[in-house]
Amino acid sequence: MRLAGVAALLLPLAFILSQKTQAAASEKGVFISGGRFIPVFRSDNKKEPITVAPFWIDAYPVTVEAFNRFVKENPAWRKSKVKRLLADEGYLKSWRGDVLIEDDLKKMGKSPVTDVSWFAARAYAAWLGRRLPTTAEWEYLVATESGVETRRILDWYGKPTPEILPPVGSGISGKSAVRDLFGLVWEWVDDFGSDFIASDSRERGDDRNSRFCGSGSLGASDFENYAAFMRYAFRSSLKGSYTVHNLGFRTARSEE
Amino acid sequence: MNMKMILRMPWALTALVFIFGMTDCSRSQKIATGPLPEKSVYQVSSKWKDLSGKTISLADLRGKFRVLAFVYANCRNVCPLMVESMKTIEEGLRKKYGKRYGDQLGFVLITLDPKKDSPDSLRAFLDKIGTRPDTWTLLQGSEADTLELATLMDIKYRRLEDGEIAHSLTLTLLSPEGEILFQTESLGGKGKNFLDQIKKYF
Repeated sequence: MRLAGVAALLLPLAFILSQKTQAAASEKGVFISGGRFIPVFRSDNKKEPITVAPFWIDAYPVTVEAFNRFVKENPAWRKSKVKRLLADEGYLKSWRGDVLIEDDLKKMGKSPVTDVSWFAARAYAAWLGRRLPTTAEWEYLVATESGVETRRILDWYGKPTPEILPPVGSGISGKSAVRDLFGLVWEWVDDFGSDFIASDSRERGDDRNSRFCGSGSLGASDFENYAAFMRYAFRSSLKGSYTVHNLGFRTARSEE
Repeated sequence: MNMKMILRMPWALTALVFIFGMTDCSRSQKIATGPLPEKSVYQVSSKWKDLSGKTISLADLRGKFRVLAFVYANCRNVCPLMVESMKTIEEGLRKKYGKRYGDQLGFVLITLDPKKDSPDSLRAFLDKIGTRPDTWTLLQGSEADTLELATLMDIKYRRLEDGEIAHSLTLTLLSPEGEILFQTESLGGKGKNFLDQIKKYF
């Protein structure tokens, strides 16, 4: 009888504790041990694998709710205050005000934040002592973690983006703890502009040839992986101040 | 009074340094006021170190036109060529405007490899190319800030597995307020196009 009483007392405690550890796990992100892999696309046309060092990555893309906390604390990143240099006119365009209120958050709080520039995404990550993942890290996740069929990815790439995005966790995910790499939003990476630089730009001459899709695709290690090539093409079409309605981000950090 | 005598008198030397320091200081202070224009890349808050180890922010570059390029010391092929073009531009300016061009325009090099480059390696790089240090500023930032500034200026680069860095060959002309006036990737024409652009503003 007494034992049951203690158990009854302990149970909710255990529940709270497990909730807490879960929250901590998702705050901390998912640990990726890294390794060597061959990226689908390389503009230098090399076939050797590249090395990805161990890192932590968010399980989900950053939500509107979380980004709202960031702009509350960092007024320089509010819609009305942000420098045009760092974010174009579309910055947070679906937000009704500088800071969202409860009503808005009910509607879109759990959706991934989009219409944010690379500079804004980086500032958010830095605010948490983190950074954006690199292209290599992001593609490593796809290569090793996602286990999603290319067909499904391509289907999603072909679909229009709804005005209010579905909540995080509802994207296309495999078995990995890293969710929503597909099916919800495209994601900023820290070195988004680097994909189309050919290594021979080190030599004197015109490197513009490598800037066009046609010649760039010569570097693709797998001609069938059209989905990956689309990602690289999309990334390299961006500029740091661009905001796009289906482009969000997640944060990462290196393993210390 | 000859130089030897000045050197024997520490106070005179101090006074000289002070006077030169002051003229330079008053010049830059006169200009660096007011909010920066919307498109100025000098709005970023990053901090940089120059060759003397002094920490500056980009807004400290206000007041002169700047010809800017991203390079790194170990870059053997294109960086010397980029700097070579900058030197050609410098020569052209000197011919047309004399030494006083330096009151209106300065050259800025930013290292793409801030972790590996040191003030010494950068100085050696400049020495080898033979630039005149009075109108050249060499800046070293953090890796994240370097990427930020490069992105603002649409300069792309990528570290290769062998440690070299593939990068855009872009030369940029900045207004005295840090706005991008002109960019070119072409190393041909020996900087002539670029010089023509500068002349438009002088």
